[in-house]
Amino acid sequence: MRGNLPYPGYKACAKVGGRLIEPRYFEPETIEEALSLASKYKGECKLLSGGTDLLVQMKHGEVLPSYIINIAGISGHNYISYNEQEGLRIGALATIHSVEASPLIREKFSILAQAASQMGTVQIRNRATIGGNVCNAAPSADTAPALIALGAKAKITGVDGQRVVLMEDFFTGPGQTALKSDEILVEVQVPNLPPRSSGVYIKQTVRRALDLAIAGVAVVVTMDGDTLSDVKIALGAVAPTPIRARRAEEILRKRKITDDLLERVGQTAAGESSPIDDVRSSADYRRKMVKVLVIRAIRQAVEQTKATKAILGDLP
Amino acid sequence: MAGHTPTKLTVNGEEYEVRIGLRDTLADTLREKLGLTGTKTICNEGECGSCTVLIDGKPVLSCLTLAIECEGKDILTIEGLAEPVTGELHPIQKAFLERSGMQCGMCTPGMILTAKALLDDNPSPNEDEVREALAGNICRCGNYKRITECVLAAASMIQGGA
Amino acid sequence: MPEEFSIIGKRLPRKDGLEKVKGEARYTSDIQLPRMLHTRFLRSPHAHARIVRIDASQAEKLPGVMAVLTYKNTPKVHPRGYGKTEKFEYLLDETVHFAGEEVAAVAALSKEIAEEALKLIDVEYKVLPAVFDKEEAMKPDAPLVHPELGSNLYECPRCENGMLPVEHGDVEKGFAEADHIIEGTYESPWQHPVSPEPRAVVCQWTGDRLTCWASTQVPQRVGENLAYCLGITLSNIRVISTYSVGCYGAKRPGKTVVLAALLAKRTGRPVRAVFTRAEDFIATHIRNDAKVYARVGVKRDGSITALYSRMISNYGRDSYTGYLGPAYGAIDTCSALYRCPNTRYEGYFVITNTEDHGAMNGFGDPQAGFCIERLMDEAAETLGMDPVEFRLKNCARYGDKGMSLYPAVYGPVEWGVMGPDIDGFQECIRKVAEQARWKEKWQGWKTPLEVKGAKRRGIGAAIGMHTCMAQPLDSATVKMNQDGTADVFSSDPEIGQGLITAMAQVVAEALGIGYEDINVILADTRVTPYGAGVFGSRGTLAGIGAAYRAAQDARKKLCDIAAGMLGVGPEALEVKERRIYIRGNPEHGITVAEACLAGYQVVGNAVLPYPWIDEPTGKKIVPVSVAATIAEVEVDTETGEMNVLKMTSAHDCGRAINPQIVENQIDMSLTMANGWVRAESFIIDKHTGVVLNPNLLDYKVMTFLDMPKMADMQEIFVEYPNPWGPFGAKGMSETAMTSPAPALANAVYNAIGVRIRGDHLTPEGILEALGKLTRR
Repeated sequence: MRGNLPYPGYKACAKVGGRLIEPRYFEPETIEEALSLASKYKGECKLLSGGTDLLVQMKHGEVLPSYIINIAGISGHNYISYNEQEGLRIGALATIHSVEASPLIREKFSILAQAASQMGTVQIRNRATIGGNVCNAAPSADTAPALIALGAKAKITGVDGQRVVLMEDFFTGPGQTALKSDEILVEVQVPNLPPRSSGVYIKQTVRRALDLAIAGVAVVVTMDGDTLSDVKIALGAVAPTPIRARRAEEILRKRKITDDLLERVGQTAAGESSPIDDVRSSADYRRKMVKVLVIRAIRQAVEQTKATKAILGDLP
Repeated sequence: MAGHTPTKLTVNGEEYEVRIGLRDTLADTLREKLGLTGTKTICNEGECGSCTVLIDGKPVLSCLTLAIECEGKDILTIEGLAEPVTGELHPIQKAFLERSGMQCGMCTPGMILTAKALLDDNPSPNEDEVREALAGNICRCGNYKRITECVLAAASMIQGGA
Repeated sequence: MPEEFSIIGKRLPRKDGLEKVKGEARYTSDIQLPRMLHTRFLRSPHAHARIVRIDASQAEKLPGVMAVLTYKNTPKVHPRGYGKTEKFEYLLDETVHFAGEEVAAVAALSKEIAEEALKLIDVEYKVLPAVFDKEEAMKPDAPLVHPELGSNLYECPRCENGMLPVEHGDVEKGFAEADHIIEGTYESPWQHPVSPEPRAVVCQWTGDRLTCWASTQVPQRVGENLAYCLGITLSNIRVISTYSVGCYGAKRPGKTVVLAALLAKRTGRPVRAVFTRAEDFIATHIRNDAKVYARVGVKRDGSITALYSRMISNYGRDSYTGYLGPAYGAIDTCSALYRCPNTRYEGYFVITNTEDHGAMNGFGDPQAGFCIERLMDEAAETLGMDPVEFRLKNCARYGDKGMSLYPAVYGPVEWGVMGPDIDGFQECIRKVAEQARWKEKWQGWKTPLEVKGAKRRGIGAAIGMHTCMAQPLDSATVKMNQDGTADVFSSDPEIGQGLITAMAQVVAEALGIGYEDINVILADTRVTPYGAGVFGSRGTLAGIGAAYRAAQDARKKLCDIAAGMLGVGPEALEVKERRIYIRGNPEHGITVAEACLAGYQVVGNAVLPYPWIDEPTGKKIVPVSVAATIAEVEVDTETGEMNVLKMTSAHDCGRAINPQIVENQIDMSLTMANGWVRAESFIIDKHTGVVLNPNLLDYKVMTFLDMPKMADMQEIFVEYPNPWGPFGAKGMSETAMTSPAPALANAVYNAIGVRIRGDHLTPEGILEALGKLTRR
């Protein structure tokens, strides 16, 4: 048996792979400049915003780009704005911290602030961007289920122009998105929620800080009296991408919640997931947690809609 | 391979001109090129918080930050916290010193800087807020209770005009 | 606290505190020397393999690479193990015995170049059969990890067919007398130290003299190892460990330091070798995992008639702490923790193709305690007895049997006694029960404290015991300065435990001068007198004990000088607040400084006397400390998550030299014990032996949010002075690791009504116990 190649769990010891050429580094000032560079160095470059994913990957030798295009400094893309017609607009370079702390988001889209607050650590949230979190497309990405359950969209700019993609269609595989190699995500759009709507994100972890989600559940409900006129359920970390649990939603939509109904909804959602065994958890546990968390999230979201004051969400 | 890109870094109010490799992290640059070894790299992979420095007042992980992106930014490391001329300690440092807020001391610089950012933003945190703010800093010597006590004591000191 | 102490017992700020809060404390991995080279190690991907071919020629040619070591150009010597024993391993070997073992070492101008060089080293392996599980390795057809040993059982001198027996009385007779016999098999998991500073050494030669900086607990041992492997004298070696870091039992950098020294010699430049976090996980040292089958006989009145235990400990492929890793469990927890005349322990130390196993905040007692204390809880339940009452009735007392390690593993077998300080045990249990409001909360067996939907609350208790004076000896020197201040020298390092501070407090008190007058110089083998280092919680009894006696020696010399100057006998003198004066006549005296000046150079020396004899019985004293913990938890029976609501823990420390330091040490073990059983899973692939989670994301140490809030973590210390300790003080740190984990397990039982005998109280472990999950 030949070789001294790295083996599972051992990457950090013997970095392998990629040419050891000093990468070229750029700090474009506009999106157009960034696009032009991304296009020119197609396949050999990586975009850098917060760096909290890219640098980890570089340290582990998973990714060794020849060109690093730092877009973090491009001005005018870290806004958080809102209007009645269009809803919420978040610039892709808005930090996760700014999403977590935004009074606007806490008031009107609290599930997103809640998800942002549970991602990583304080230090990571100060640098990580919402665009980066979404484009890194980890199956367990914390903002993803919340965005999907909110019906969010991704606005993408490329050399050929702009397009908008539903967030639930944006994730195409583990670490893969609908972005072409010369496109950049520039904005996250969240439509206005109907009145009497509220959402909850529950992240299942072993520890209470620092951990990736073993299973993540986001639920947004809209109430009409005691009936759920609408519900969206999104699951993270239990499939190759974050997913909608559509069959579970179907069972619940236009119904009143009962224990039995919720049991069925939870069970169905668990059936829609396809979790894996890995060092973090077992498929069996993950599947069971989907059921437990979906039921809990629905109950909590419904409770939240009953509060008459503006909801600040379940934040620290 | 040896760093050949000249870069100006402003650390603790002083300007340094360093030659860095483009993949050099801020943590490695501070420690190896500037000799500022107060910033620690317990894991060097963004999972422990020990490399925390303040960049423009915000706590970030210096091991996940490229040195080259830091040109023009204001970096504060543990070495820059005490008064440069008198040596007077920051109240957080005083509290840690008086109350034995450390054992091995490796998490201490990152812990103190993260606490500073908290108190700069929220001068009277309660215990929950301190725990949440420092949750990204690991202390293997298990001094979470003591550290919380020190940060709250520092907050009192600062409020009391220390 | 007696009024006569002015420095002992005070919450003085740490002497190393200023450097640490300013980021100026220089640790081994911070050291930068001119022309220093960086090191990287090539590691085997296979758990057991022979190197058929290794060719480093391309690596050597890479510009910036200064030297490459393989087994071909490295002396074929065994590094020293515990004490002066040899390890099985060679510095670099033709055969590798665990996945991740070094097969080559590269020194280069930068880490990046060294890493690039690793890719250019061509290695061809012949894979050999390997075994990872300790019970698998005991089977007769198991592959042999070290064929030359003929078996996978590590034999210490008293072993019989690979089994270490420790016996007192007659267990069969004891069981015959019992009204109830309770038995069970329990498991105790691995734990990685996760020392904040990964393994770090720096070596520099000046001619034939080697200076080595190492993050270690045992600098003299590191020096001896270097002398032995390199074939040079101790006078040519200097080992410095100014600030070691959180060793937790495991910091013995063995072959790494020798390889770094060889690289430094070959290149003529200083060499620094610092492991990455992943390397530290896979190639240093972990706590022995263990399986204990135990049987206890009890009478209706709650007394214990017999305790039998069979403990199988994973030894790894080798160990720097040898049988020490598990063996204290034999002599403390399994034989002496409870009053019981008939005890028998049978221990197996099983060699497997995994990294070194050994001491890790405790030598076997945390593992044994995690198992035995669950059994004892079951015994108390069988009797229908309050579990705290059960411990109160049966916990060890002064004069009860104890055995030190040397007779147990080397023979001849000799039972000693535990000292009068052990009578603090009942006070520990009473105080923890009072503080935790046990009587108010405990509602009886099978009755949780509260049930709210899926959430169930429970409370549980456990006790523990551990040595506080792992042999061997220690020594110290106190050198007076001519202005009446003093320097203390000891080879025991500051690893974060507060040794500098506590030693300074003791010496200042003993010399009658100020805390601020004392410099403590530790762990520089060119300068500090011989001592074994810090491990087995011996820092107080051994390290500070020697310093205390050296201070007394200096004080005596000062008094002799003063007596001459004052015209009285030295017995008439007192030393306080920097003055030596005639008792009852304080104006008639001189300053300590004047005595120092008159004496020119006053030096106090001491070698720690040991063993200590218990006067009434004439038996040897076995120094131990004890602990009692009560945990309150809330279990979510749908997710398996456990929220630890309260930890209350009482520890006997003889005398608290500095209460802040004692509290910090208690908190350390409470936090570490929580991590150990709730979240820290060390995952080794069953087929390849590869560590699957060598990082801090997937190996989960406790964070702020995982531990209870300040008011819910209560540390109590009980002070029954140890007659041989400095001002009665003794160590308690590892003992603090023995009781919290079983207290948690017993609390979980109270909450959910199912006994978890397996090794983890993780969410999946708890759901599995509830029958809701099948473990993979």
